[in-house]
Amino acid sequence: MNRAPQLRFRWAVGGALVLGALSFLASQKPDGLEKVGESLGFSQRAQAASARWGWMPDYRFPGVLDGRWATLLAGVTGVLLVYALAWALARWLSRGKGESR
Amino acid sequence: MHIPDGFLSAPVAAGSFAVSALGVGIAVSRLKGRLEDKQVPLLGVTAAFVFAAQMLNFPVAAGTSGHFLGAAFLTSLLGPGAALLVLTLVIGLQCLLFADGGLTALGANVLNMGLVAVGTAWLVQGLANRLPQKPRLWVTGLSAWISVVAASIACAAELALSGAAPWKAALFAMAGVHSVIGVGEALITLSVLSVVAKTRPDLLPLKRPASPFVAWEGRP
Repeated sequence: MNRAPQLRFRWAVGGALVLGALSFLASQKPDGLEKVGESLGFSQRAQAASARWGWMPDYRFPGVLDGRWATLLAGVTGVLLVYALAWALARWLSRGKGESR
Repeated sequence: MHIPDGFLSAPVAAGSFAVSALGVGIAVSRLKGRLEDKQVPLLGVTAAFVFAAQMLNFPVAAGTSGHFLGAAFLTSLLGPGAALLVLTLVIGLQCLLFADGGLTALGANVLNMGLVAVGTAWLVQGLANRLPQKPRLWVTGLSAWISVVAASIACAAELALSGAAPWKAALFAMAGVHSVIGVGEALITLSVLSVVAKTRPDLLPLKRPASPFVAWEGRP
């Protein structure tokens, strides 16, 4: 048991990276909520102007003109960031084990 | 079903933010100092997986797409408290970094795809605890379907309370589309969990924790 768990986790991270790279194959059709918004007529309530904040709005890596590559880079960056943040959060949560509370 | 800015009225946005903040706060306080060291890499990997999988929209009927949510998958692997925190992290980053889901709707998005989806998945999976091994997998699949449909119903209720759409129309439209998307959710959840069961069976919990917020401890 636990044969090279580090290696297995490397595989898992690699798999997540591949998923991020696959992101440009994803369907561009509106999602369930967007579709309902169109059919029930409330989609125009969305404030398009406000969808411009953030570092990489609409999963486009800044400065990359080609849409597919911009999304791929944004996806890989997001995967690595989420991984690091979740690791840090879990590390913080696992601290102070055994202390009375 | 990330709600953008503008769909929700201010009271609905503020109210759902308060409920989400309370839920996430309770999960943090209950998990603080109780997470196993060996769960730290698992949280990182599952969060990265869920984020990546949520980017991959798959086509469903009639010019519509849906994507994996991951609430039932995370709940079965991490327990509901940690699952909520991972989803909150993913939804928060999608909002702040990628403008996916509105800043004012962040509370509602965490409420629907976090609290409601994880809560319903956890309730259904709790029933599976009483079943033998074989049907347990199917109930986990069912919990994935229910989590997506329940999240979409919560979303429809928020839209109706905000005056965006009449309640019945919103309910039928949202639950209708997401009962199809939920089938995809169930299939992906079952495939990923069976891969985990084959490669890392030690990661699957043997018994569920008594409290929803305590990370499961029973390992072979």
